[in-house]
Amino acid sequence: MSTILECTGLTKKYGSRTALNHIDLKLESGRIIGLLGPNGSGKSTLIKLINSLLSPTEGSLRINGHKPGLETKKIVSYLPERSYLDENQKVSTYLSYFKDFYEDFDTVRAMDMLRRLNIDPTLPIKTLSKGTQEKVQLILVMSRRAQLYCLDEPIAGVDPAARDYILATIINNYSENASILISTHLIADVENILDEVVFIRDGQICMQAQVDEVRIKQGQSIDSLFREVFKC
Amino acid sequence: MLKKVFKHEWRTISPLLLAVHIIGLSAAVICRIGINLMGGVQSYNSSIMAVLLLFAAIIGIGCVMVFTYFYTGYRFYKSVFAQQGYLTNTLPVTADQLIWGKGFTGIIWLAITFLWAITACMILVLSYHDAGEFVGELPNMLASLFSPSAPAIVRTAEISLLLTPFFMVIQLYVSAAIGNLFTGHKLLASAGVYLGLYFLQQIAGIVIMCMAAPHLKTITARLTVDDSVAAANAVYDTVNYSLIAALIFSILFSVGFYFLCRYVLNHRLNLE
Repeated sequence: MSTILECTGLTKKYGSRTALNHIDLKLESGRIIGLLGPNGSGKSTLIKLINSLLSPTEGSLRINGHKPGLETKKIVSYLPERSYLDENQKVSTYLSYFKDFYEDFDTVRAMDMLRRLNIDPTLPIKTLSKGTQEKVQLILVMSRRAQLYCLDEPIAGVDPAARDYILATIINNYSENASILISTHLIADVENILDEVVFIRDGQICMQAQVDEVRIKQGQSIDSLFREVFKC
Repeated sequence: MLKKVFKHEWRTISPLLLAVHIIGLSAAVICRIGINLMGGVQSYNSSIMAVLLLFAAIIGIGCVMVFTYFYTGYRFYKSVFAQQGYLTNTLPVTADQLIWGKGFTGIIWLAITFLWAITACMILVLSYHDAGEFVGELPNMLASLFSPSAPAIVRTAEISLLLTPFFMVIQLYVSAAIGNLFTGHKLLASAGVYLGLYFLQQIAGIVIMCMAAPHLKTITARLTVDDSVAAANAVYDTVNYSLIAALIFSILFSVGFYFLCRYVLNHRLNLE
């Protein structure tokens, strides 16, 4: 297995506030990794750094051996925690947008997922409910054959049925060699699909472990371990 | 990728701008009909209402031009530094491709708006006969303007005119880029930066005027000795010199703005 992501002494400060504090992290490819932590722990900041949406204050970050930039954008598929869809555009506009810019975008797969959800691609985004907009965004992201998927809070703010759909979409649409980094604080919903977990608190990694190890050695579910580690 | 950025930006911004320009042109036609019904504005006994209507129409044309300009800037801000930036900045395109791709759209729309404004003014002011004559003469006018024998001052003015849309667009873009560095109220900050840069350019304009001052003394001296030909030559030199200096300043500012915008996109993106 090769290393898909490597952070060394990665630090990000917003003015005087430190969001990430000298993080050292190495993730192998072909795994589903949960980036778990309470609100404000630095999960989204780390994901934004991976996607070149923020610049690190200190330290380095390598994705498949490359610094974040043009090369890494070709292999990283990113789902932000908020919608980036222009409400005045149609779903089909985004299909052609992704098709044009990403060589690894699979239009057939996207159309198939839209059809299964009865989403008409000719509809403007503004006519879709918030939940459906989130699903459209997820479909776009998961229809790429990327090497690393960064999903920032993909199940926050959606109903349990939609959560199941989202998680099923994630599992069914990534290749064996790709990695998925899922940031969330809703552990119970995602723990069954995770291979590995990274706990983050106050901008620092406080634990990185294989899910099976936690279950077998510590005899705990990830959810109960999370509650124990982040007990207020 | 540049072509793709341009294509999608063009598709995104054009429907609204096209609608605004069509409505604007239709309004100009309606105003013209109204002005004619009120007795026109070309005679000494023009009605006040006709003059007011003409005045309002000209303000309307100005508003469309201003709207087009700031809309292209707002689109850049919205697609790069606001929520849509989460997609735009994760596309496998370079900062240069992003600036040029979106910039070309803005430049082309500014050029269209310029031509649109001339057309709208012609509709408002010229009679059918005069408009026909103007259109007929246009090729000759353009040929003489762009002929190799055109005076240097015309050359300088032409280059300035052609580069102005680029200067205008890059000033908007750099304002949005610097505004993105603020922690809150980024759109307001961008507007503030734009005004600051505008003020800076006005200062540069004053510097150019000061640099031209010695030539003004020459003109005054020539006029004092009643050497009108020499005075005219001095006026020509001064205006030409001022235009060239202003053009150089604008190019320097724009190149600086471009690299600053590029630097922010590459190293200081701040989508908190």
